[in-house]
Amino acid sequence: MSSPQSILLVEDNPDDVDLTQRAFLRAGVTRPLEVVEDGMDALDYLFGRGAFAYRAQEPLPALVLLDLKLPRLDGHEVLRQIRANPRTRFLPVVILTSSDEEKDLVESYSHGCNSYVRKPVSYTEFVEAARQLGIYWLELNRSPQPGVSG
Amino acid sequence: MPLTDPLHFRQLLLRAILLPVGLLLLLAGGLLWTVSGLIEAQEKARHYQVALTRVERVRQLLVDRETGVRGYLLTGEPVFLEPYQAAGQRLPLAIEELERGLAGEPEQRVWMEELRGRWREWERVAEEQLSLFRQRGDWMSLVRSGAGKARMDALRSTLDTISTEELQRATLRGLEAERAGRFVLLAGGLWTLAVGVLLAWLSRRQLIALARGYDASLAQVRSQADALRASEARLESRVAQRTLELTVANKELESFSYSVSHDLRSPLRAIDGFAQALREDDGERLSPEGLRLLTRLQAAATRMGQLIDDLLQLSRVTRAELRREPVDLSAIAASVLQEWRQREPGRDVTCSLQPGLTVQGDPRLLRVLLENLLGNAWKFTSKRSGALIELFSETAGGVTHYAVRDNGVGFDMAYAGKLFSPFQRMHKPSEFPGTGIGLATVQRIVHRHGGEISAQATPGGGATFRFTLQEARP
Repeated sequence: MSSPQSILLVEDNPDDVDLTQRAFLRAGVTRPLEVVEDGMDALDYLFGRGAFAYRAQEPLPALVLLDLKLPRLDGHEVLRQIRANPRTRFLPVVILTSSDEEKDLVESYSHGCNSYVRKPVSYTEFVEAARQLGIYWLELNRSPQPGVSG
Repeated sequence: MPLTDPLHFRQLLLRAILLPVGLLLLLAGGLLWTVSGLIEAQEKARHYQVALTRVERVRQLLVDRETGVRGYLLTGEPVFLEPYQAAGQRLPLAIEELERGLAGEPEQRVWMEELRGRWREWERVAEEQLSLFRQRGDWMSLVRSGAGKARMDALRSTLDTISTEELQRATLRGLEAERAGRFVLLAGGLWTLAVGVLLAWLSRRQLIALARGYDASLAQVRSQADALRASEARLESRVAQRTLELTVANKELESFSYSVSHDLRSPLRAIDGFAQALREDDGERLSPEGLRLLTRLQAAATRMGQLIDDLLQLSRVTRAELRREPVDLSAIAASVLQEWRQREPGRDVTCSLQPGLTVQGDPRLLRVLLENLLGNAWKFTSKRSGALIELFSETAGGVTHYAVRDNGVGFDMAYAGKLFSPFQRMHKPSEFPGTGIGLATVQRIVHRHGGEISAQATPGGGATFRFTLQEARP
């Protein structure tokens, strides 16, 4: 692996993108943050299709931060397709959303998300959440290699 | 609807019965009258028969008398006179009987007079013959003169006339009776037929009238049932419509809540986040006032975030489907207070929780309830030492009340009416932070469980919140 695996942030709100980038920076997470703004782009990025065809041979990101409310294809559907594809089925996916609805939580877990984090309004708390996510999913957690069947 | 009127119905029935019964009675009367006429005719016929018998009896007695005289004259034997004498004794009575039997017939009386006259003449001739015979006179010439025979022949002729006339009368009466009988038979038959036809016609008419009434009533009942069904259907469709509208409204509310939850929080996060970024990047260059304003900005964003969260919770409490299962209030209270202790480890708070308070209810909602009540208790005891928070149950009037009591700042009961309305606060924000939505949420949770909640407090003397959790509302 020549370059460290990136983090894929699926987020349509530029403010949230900016703040998330700052939070990771502040939390000392040094992985490059790739951003896509909707569900279709997220799937194209992961599967190396369409505008992201060049990524077909690139390694998968180390972590996907997935918002639920997205243009075109929502987070639940993106998660379902990630889990349905053998290439991406073990990819760590953290739902990062403002929603505190029970049904979003239940649906996300039933589609196989690894974690569900509600974005706090307080920036300080947000930075702390980003820090803990970085430590856990990028340093502590181990995932199988892509394409390994289980 | 006159035909369904009971009075009219009774009249109808009465007419249907009374008229035929009257006609039948008339028929019976007529028959009785003609039959009695028939019996009378028969009686008369029998009477003529008796009269004829009597005529024959008289004739026989006369013959006895004549042959008696003749026998005696021929033989001179007194024994031949016996029938003559016997008949002579019976004859007056027989003639009298015959006359009595013919009473009421004027012509016959004339004939009877003639009979008596001729009989007397014959008797005279017979007496003369007998006296001549006894005096050994010339009785033979008297016999030969034929005087006796002529008188007996006249007598017989009169008797024949009487019997012939009686026979004629009897025949006439018989014919009359026969005619009357035939008439009775014919008239009775015709009358019965007429009554039968009339009865059938009347019955048919009444039945048609009744059937018409029945049809009308049935139609009315049917139309009423139809109207009822229609109104029921209308009601059902209206209910369905309202349910649909309600469902749509609920869906809209849900999506609204979702949007609030998701979209309204984002700009707040941006405000707080960029303010923080500004503070971090350019903090040294900002004036103390600028830094203070940044702090205010961030506090306002945080408060707005809290408001949104509390409102969401309030709406979720209303929308959530209520589950009912055994819930250990004591255990939830312990866990909630444990969280507060972790959040504010510096606080010295004594917690007294009555163990084993198990109720029937929704565990998530009851947790929200206790979070709010215990959170308030925790908050409002923050300014005193020796803080005490209690959870216990009391039974009053057979109903179990649960109570959360603290010895905090309390509040003025004058404002207790506003306590459970959203955004109503008893204290200044500078003293105790809060959104004023917590108790509204608590009240909704209690109401959804079919219970009631009330509060008692004195300023500076703590507050007690009592609630019941009765039958969960469906």
